[in-house]
Amino acid sequence: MKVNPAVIAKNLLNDLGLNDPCAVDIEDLIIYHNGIVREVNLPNCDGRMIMKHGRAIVSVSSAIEYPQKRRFVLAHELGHILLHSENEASFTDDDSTLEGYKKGPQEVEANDFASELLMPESLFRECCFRNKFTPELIRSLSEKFNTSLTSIVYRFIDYGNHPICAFYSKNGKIQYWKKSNDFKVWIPDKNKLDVPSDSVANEYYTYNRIYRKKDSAQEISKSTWFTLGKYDEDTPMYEFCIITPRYNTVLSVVWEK
Amino acid sequence: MMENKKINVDGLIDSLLNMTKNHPEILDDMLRERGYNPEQLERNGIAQIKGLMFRAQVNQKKQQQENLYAKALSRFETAKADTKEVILSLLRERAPKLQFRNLEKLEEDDLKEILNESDILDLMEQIDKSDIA
Repeated sequence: MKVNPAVIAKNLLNDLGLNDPCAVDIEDLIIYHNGIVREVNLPNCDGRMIMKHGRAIVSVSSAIEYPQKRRFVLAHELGHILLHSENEASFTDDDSTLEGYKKGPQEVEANDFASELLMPESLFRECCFRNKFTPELIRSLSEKFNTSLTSIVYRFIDYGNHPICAFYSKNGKIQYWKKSNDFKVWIPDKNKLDVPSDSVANEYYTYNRIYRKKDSAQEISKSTWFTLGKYDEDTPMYEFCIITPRYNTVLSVVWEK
Repeated sequence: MMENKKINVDGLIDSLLNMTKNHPEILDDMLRERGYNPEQLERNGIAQIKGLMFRAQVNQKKQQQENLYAKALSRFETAKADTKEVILSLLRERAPKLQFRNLEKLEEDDLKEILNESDILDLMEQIDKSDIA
C-alpha cells in the first residue's frame, strides 16, 4: 500500500500529543524511534542515516550554519526512518536530495514528511493569510516554524497566498524550478542552462554580490526568467536570492507585486 | 430558624455526582455556560497526557541508547586500511538487504564511516541481547 508521508507526520504529532510543531525537538523524535543523533564532520553531505536491527544512527553535518536548516535535515532523516526502514537502510543526503530536484520517490517522500511535520498545512495557510509576500515574510515564517528558508519557500509555493516561482541553481547552472499553480508564466526548458545574465543570481555567481536584508527584493523584468507571449508586456518583477556559499547554490524566488 | 436554612454542601456534591453519573452531558453544559469548550478541554487534556508519556519514554530511551552506544564504541576497532572496493563489498556482504543509495559516489572515508556505523549498530544489538540474557 502506498504511504502518505503527510498523513504519517500528522498522525505522529497527534499520537505523541505534540500540539505545537514549531516547538518539537526533532532529536527527541529520533530518540523515541530508537535513534542516536551525532553531529559530525560530513564533507560531502548534510545528513546521513543508517538503520539496522530497528536502531538508527543519524549523523548531521557540523558545518550546517543555521539551526533551522539542521532541524529540517533531521526531520528529513526521521522521514527515512519511519517510511523506508524495512529492517536495514542507509541514506546519504546532500543539497540534491534535500532540495528534492533529484526526484527519487524516497527523497520526495522524506521531504514531504519533513514539511508536514515542521509546517503543517493548515497552520501554514493560517500564518500566510492576509500577509503580503515579501522576503521578510519568508524570514518571519522561517523563524515562526523554526525551519530553513528554503523549506519555507517550497511550502509557500504549495500553500502560500501569493503566486511565486523558485529557480534553484548550482555553480551558475539552473538545476530545477518550481512554481505556484496560479503563477501564469511560460517557462522554457532551462535546466542545465546558465542563470540569466540580468538575474540577481548571476550577480552572486559573477560578482559574489549578496544584498543586505533590506535590499533583498531586487527589481527585474518578466523577461529575465520567463518567455514573453505575443501579447505579454515586459512588466517589473522581483527576485530574492537565498544563497548557500558552502554548495555554491542560489534559490531565486521570483514574484510579481 | 437559621439552622433549617443551613446548606448541606456534602449532600449537594453527592447529588451532583449522582446526577452527572447518569447524565454526563450536564457537566459539558455547565462548562459551556461558563464559556469553556468541553471538547477542546478534553483534547488538550489527552494531548498533555500523551506529551508527558512521550517525554518519559524519550528520557528512558536516550539513557538506554547512549549506554549501548558507548559500550559498542569502546569495543570497536576503528582503524581499517581497506580500499573503497573492499569496503563496498564488505558492506554488501554484511548487510545484503541494505538499501544502497548514492554509495558509489561517496569517498573512501565516508564509506568507512558508514561501515563503522553499521558495525556499531551490530554491536549494540549484540550487547543489548547479551544484557537481556
